Amino acid sequence: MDAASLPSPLHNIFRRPAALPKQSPPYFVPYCHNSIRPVLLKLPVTTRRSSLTRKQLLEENAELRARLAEAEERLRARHPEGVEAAPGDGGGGERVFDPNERERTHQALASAALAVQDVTDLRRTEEATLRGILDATQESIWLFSPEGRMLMGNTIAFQRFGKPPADIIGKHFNEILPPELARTRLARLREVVEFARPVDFEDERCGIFFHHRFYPVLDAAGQVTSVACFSRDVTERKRSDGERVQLLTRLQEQHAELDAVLAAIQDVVLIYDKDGTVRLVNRACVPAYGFDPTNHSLPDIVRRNSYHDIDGRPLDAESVPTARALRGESVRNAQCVVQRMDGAEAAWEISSTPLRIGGEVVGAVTVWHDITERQKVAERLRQSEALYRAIGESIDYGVWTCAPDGRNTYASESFLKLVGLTQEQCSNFGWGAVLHPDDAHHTIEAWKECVRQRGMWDIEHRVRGVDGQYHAVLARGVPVLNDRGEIVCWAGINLDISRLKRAEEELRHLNAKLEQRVNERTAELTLAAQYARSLIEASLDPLVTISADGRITDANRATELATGVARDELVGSDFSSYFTDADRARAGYQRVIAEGLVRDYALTLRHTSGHTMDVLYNATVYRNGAGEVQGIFAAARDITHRNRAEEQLKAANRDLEAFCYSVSHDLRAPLRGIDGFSQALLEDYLDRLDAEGQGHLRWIRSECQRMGCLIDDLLNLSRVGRVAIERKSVDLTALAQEIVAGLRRTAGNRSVRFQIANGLRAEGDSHLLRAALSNLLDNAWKYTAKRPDAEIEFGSLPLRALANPPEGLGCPPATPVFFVRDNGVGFDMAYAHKLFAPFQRLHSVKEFPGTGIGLAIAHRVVHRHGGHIWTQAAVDRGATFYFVLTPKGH
Amino acid sequence: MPNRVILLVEDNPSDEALTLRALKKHQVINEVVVARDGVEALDYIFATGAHAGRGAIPLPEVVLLDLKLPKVDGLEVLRRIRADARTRLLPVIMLTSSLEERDVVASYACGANSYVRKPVDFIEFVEAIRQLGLYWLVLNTPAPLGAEP
Repeated sequence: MDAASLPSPLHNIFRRPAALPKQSPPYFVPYCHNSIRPVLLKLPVTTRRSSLTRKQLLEENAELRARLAEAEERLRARHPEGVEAAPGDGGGGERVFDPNERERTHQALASAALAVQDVTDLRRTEEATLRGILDATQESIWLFSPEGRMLMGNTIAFQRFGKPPADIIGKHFNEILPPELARTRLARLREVVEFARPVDFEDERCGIFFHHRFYPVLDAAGQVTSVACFSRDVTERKRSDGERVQLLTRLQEQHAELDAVLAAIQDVVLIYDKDGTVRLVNRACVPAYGFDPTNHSLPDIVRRNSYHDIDGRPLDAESVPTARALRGESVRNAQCVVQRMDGAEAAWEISSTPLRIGGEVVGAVTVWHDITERQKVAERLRQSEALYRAIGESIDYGVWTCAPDGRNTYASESFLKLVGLTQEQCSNFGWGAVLHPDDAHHTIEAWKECVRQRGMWDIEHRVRGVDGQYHAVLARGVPVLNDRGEIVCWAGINLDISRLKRAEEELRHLNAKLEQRVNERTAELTLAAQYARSLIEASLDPLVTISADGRITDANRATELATGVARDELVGSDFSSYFTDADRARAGYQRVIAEGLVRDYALTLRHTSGHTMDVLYNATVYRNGAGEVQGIFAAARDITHRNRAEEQLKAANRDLEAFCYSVSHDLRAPLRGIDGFSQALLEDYLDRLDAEGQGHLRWIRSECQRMGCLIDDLLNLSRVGRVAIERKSVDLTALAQEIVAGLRRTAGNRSVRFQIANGLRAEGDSHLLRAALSNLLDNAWKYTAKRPDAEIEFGSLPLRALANPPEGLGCPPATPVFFVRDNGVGFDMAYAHKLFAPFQRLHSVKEFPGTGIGLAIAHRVVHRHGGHIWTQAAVDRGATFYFVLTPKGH
Repeated sequence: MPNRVILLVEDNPSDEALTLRALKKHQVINEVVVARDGVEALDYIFATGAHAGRGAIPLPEVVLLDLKLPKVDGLEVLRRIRADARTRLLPVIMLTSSLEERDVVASYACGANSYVRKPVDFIEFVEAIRQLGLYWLVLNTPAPLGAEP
């Protein structure tokens, strides 16, 4: 694409204006858009080649000066009065546009002219050279007298003037020039003469514009002897200056237009130079880039913002549209996704066009169009279409649309497949052919009517599938209207309701089966109810159900018997009215409702005859399937007999108490009498008794005392069984220490090493525990009597630490097991089972005194605490008594 | 001041005999008056019934009171003694067979001065009586008669 074909005023900027004069100074645009300036500066400028020529000229000039200086010397020596100048032709040469250089050249030429004037004797030898020099320029060169007479001119001067030298030389300005021109030039001349300095000015003669330089020619004394004039035809330049102004104006206008256009464009516009550096951007660019890319290079931009094509492939600095444009390719609507440094992402359609000047790519214009929204919309549309299609395909027979005239325009794939039609067939009313023959006519007529009436489409018909089966289909549709109320299309669905139909059929079948089962179940339930009723009736316990307000809703035969009231009367009556304590009865069923159940709630039923029956009620709420309380089921257990037994037990206990009391008081008195009088006999009648008699009396006394001990022990044992237990935390360590101290007091001469663990505590009755521990320690004390190194230990260890704990303890592994261990005579474990029975002894009284009640007491105490006691022993290897106090199940 | 009597309230003849024998053995010179039931004991102390009109004789030095007595039991006797201002400070020693805790507690609760169990062993019994006599008749300083606390 050529730059000239760009539809933008830009091309004017980049196209080298052909009208600009070739001899202009180095290409220079005094006013242009700043951003374009660098572009312009880089444009190839052919005028730069002049530097070579300039160099040559300088050399030439230097040589010339040298020669002139030499000639001047000689001239001064010979002709101090001056020389006559003579014009001559010279060859062409390269134009010099450097003003300084030109100045120097002019000076040189002025000197040369002077030299020509003076050097008469060198005319022959140097004339040609001078002529050459004078004619080497296209400028007219004249020499005027200070008054304004034409002294001489070069060839071109005469040619330009249009008159032969004879008509000009010696003439005054006034004679050969128009008066105005003569006046101005004379004024300039006088200026030169007066101030002895060059003057530049321009004027016009006969349609030719001249640039004049009047140059004073000085003599040795510094007086202006004549004035050299260098005139250049600047007509062309003058003309081109006008054009240039026009061009610049146009350029400015175009820039303004460009600015406005760029600002107005919502798309992002960037102008790159040929190196890929951004030279110009519009307003939309910065927000799109996230920074101002002006003066940034393309690789830099691609490094900052990542580019991907629409398929997500990354684009590098070489493959982005601009890079392609800079390589000469014109890229249109390349879709890219650009992710900015800050992470923002947008989709763009990027067009980039190379800028060409003379076929050479000098830059690129890139335009970004934001298509993010378009993409989103397209994506939404795609999704929406996909969704509707999916919905359509997912419905049996799916969705359809029809033209306003009723012709099908779309039927979902599922329908077409099922009935074996193509869309085309379907569009040509092929669907009529797959309708059941009985339905076809009706459906088609109804559809026509519907289209005509613009009504709702709602019909059930049968459609033949490719399998030959007919499917019940429910077709529904509505006309889709536009804003003007015109039908755009019809849209509707087809629903396969054959399954529904089948389901209906199955449902009917199931209902029938269900009914049958219900009947069966009802029969079963009736049977079950009868069975349950029989059970209830068979119960000897009075059973009732009570409503939440305390009315009896049902009662069994046992209730009738207990109350003396018939069931018919019981039902509906107040439950609490059948008890001696109606308030307590009421509180009872209220508690059932509040807590869900009560157990062993004691009440007394009153029979109509006045008899009462002590009962314990167990009652619970019963609920329906939804969990709502329906009422209370209450079962009474006649405990009259139990209460009677308890009474008897209490009486027996009272008797036992009295017996023990009596024993305590009365049984000992005769013993004391026997003992006392035996002693009295021994004291008073000792001399009348022989040794055997005395022995017998002592036996009597001894037996009395033993019996006293037995009575005491029995009483103790019975007391342990009778007293109420008061549980509290007991310091067993302290208790054991006290007991041991007592033992040491009563038999201080024995050496026994006691080891009592610290911090032993138990929950229990302190008196009973003291009795138990006392007996156990007593026992240990007694059976270590024959050991010189007797050792007795009282301690505890966790149950889990025991090697052989007894079975069925039911205690957690951490339960403390207390033990009393001795290194006494021990016993044979074969008799261990006898150990804790009262008055059972494993040793003779003679060997170890005692009644055999101590361990029985310990055993009873431990058991009364819900604990367990056991032993581990071996003959002559000591014995260990273990006990746990934690009650089973606690 | 002549020695005042010791009132022994005991229904068991053998215990009575043995107690008297024990007292005698230890040279207790005080006269021992024996009451064989609670009523008799109270009559003696308060000069009522059979002892009515006995006149103002001094109260016993000490009363040895069995618990289990016919008619009025020992505790009741003790209660009445303590209830009367005249006898409130009279030393009463329970001398009985029982070592039932409730007997001991009840006796002290009713204001018994001492509770002594009669041992089966007569020698021990004699020893107990000796100590009783030593304490109550020799060592103890009785409250002045008729004193109001």
